[in-house]
Amino acid sequence: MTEQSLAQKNKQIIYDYTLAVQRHKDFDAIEKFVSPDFYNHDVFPGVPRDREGSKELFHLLWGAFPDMDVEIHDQVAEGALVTTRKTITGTHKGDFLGVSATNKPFRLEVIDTLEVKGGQITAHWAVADIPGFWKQLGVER
Amino acid sequence: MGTRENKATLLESVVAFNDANDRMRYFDVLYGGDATMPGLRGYSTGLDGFTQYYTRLWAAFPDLHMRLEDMVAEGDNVSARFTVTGTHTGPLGEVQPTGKRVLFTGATFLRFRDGKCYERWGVFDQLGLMEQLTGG
Repeated sequence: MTEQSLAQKNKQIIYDYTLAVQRHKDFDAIEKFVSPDFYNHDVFPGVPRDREGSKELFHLLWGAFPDMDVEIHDQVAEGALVTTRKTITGTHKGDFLGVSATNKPFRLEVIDTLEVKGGQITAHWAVADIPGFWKQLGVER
Repeated sequence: MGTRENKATLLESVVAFNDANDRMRYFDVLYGGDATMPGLRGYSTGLDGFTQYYTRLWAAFPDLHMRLEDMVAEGDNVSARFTVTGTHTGPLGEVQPTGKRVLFTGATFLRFRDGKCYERWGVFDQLGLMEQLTGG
C-alpha cells in the first residue's frame, strides 16, 4: 500500500471510530479500534491513559451526556497521524467529574490527533477549550 | 504549491513568531490579505482581528516561544500541534503581570491557497494557562 492510501485508510478508521464512540455509544468499538498498547497523552484528570481508561471515559461521558454527538468538520492524514477538527455537543444530565447534572447544553470545539499503526489507534493528543465547556454548564472550576 | 511548501511556510512563520525583534513578519509569511480566523472570540475574524489578538499576547508574554510538536499535511490543509512557553510580564486582559513562567498546548488547522493560509481554526488549552497564572 502506498503511503497516501495508507493515510486515507487511517483517516477512515478515525472517522468511523469517532462516530462510533461520540455519536453511537458503541462500547465494542473501543476494543475493536483501540490498540492494547494505546497511550493517551491528553486526558481528563483522574482518567487512566491506557485503553481501559478510554472505556472508563466513554462510560462516564455517555452517562453524563446521554445525547452526546459529534460533528466532524475537517480531517487531514499523513503517515500514521490523523488530525480531526470537530465539535462535540451534549446536555449535562448526569454526574461528571464530581459535578452533578446541570441540564445545560454545551458545544466543545476540539482538534485531536490520533496515531494509527497496523489498523489500530496507538496514541491520542487533544486540545479543547475546557474552561469554555465548564462555563457553558455554569460551573466554576 | 504543495503540502511540502505549505509546511515550510508554517515552519518559517514559527521562526518569525519566536523572533521578538521581528514578530510582525509572522503575519506576512503565513497569511494572505483576505485570511480569516473563525471562532476567535472577542476579535474580528479577519487579519486585523488576529493581529490585535497576537499583539496583546506578545505584550503579556514578550519572550513567548512556540514549538511545533507535529504537523500533518494533506492537499491544501496543514494541521499542527504546538507547545507555547513564556513569562507573564505584561497585563493579559484583567490579569495583572504575575512574572510566572507558563506552558500551554494548542492545535491549529490551516487551509492554504497559492502558498498562503486563507483560513485558520485554532484551539488552545486555556485551562492550563489560566490555572498557571491564577494558581498558587
